[in-house]
Amino acid sequence: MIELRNVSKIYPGLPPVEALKEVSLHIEKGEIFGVVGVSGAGKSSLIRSVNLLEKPTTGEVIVDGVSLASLSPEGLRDARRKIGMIFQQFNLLESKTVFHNVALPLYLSGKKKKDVEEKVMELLTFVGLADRAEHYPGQLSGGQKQRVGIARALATDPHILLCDEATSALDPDTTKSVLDLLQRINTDYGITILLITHEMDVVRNLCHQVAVLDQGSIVEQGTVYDVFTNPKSQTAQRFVRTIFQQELPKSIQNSLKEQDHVLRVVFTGENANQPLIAETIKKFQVNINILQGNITELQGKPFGDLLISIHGSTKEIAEVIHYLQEKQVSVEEVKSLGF
Amino acid sequence: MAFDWAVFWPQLIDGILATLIMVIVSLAFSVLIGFPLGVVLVVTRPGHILENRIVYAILSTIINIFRSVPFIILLVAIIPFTRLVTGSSIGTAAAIVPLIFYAAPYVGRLVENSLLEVEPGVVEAAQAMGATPWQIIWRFLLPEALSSLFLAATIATIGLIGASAMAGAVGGGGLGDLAITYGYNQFEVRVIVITVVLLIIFVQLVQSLGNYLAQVVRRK
Ligand SMILES: Nc1ncnc2c1ncn2[C@@H]1O[C@H](COP(=O)(O)OP(=O)(O)O)[C@@H](O)[C@H]1O
Ligand SMILES: [Mg+2]
Repeated sequence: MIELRNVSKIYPGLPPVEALKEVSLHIEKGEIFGVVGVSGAGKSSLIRSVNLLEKPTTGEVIVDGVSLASLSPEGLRDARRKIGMIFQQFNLLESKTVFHNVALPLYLSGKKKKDVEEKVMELLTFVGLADRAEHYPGQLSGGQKQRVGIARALATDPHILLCDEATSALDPDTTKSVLDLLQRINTDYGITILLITHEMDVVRNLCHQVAVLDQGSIVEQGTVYDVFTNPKSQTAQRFVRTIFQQELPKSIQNSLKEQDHVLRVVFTGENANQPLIAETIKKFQVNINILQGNITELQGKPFGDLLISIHGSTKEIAEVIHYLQEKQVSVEEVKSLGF
Repeated sequence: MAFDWAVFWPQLIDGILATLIMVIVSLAFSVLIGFPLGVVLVVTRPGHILENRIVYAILSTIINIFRSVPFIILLVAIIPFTRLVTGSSIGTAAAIVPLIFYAAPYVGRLVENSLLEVEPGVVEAAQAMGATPWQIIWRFLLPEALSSLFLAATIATIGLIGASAMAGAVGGGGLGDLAITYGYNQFEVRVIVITVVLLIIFVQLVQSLGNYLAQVVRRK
């Protein structure tokens, strides 16, 4: 559906900025694909290359089997009508009503007035703003503005929706409701969604697949479940920790004794439901203290991430680690607690 | 020689009419020329929808040249051209030509500024939905800049009222001409006061109208 082949983007200047380095991505039809990265990682450059708002310096962008760079200006405009886009700052026309904003893409393609009216009201109803049709964006909240942005992006019946930090300007509650709306767009209309964000929570709540972008390169990619439960790159690990592991409170760090060993224990799938910690304590007669824990669900599968301290001899601890690993639990000794 | 009010009043009416004609006609032509100039200046900027360094540099330079010539010099410098167009170098019609030369580049810059105030994200959204450059200009840039454009027009009009009074000094007719003929040459202070008060009223009216229109279309 969307394919990026070795896409590089260099912004000329002194010095030139290499925003994307040989990025390759494959996004399947119907998928919700998230790209996560810190500010400046190249996320906007990446998403903007998908509808050629930004021309890649090298590499190819293929959407629905067509290489966008090969199209005429006219052809590119037609292709863009099938790729909706929403923005962090909404980018609505402040001088026009909600109705007019949503109708604009339809006016552009010369639709009849009556058809436009029907379509716009249908879209506004879908995003829950039918009663705001005659309001101006200045009279709406951030969440409502983004709903208008979404309705506008859907007006031309796109196959793809690009979301550039669509919830980054919104508070958590509003973010949740906009994410629910995006979810519905995906399930009800089968629209493929590519979103970029610096918030791991957005990826966790919405995405099927995720790619981690770091300084213009994709350092990790996979299903949300795999990347969250077993992040391999340092960048991915840091992102996963932003939601699953906070730094241990100082008081807890200080209460740890010299001979305490701290382990990170990650349960996935089946074993997340088993009382493994309790069994371990019984079996080995060691003291286990749960310092921090997070048991949650990812894409409908349970997942637990615990930080425990064990008091015992080196031999006992080695046995415990061995036992847990036998149960298909990932165990890792944590050396420094400062993360 | 005593001041003859009976002669003066009809001349004042003529002066008002001449000023109005000079301002309105030169404003109309200046907008006709300056508006497209301003639009082209914006869309040919680096990174904009019709980026073209050469067109931008040429237009920008020409505008700067005209803008750096003081009006009173411009008035004299283009007399040959004025004569060619209007058949004369004095009179109201002849004053309109230098006024256009003066105001059109100015309007160009004002329009450029107004359009630059539009959020770049709006243009980006327009491109993302497949709008043509023409559609981006008419359906996105101009409506979003409308309020600011009304204020720009106000500034241009007031500038033209001032300049038209100066054009009067070289025989262009209008209120400036009256002020010079009676007030300066014949030391008739009352005429100066009357013309200045009238000019102030014009400026106030234009400013209020401009503010009102800008307010009506602003939706923020
Ligand atoms: N138009 C531009 N000109 C020059 N440098 C740019 C431009 N756009 C982005 N950059 C640079 O490219 C890098 C990646 O930017 P961006 O894609 O916006 O990252 P992100 O969206 O992840 O914050 C940054 O270093 C940024 O400063
Ligand atoms: Mg960005």
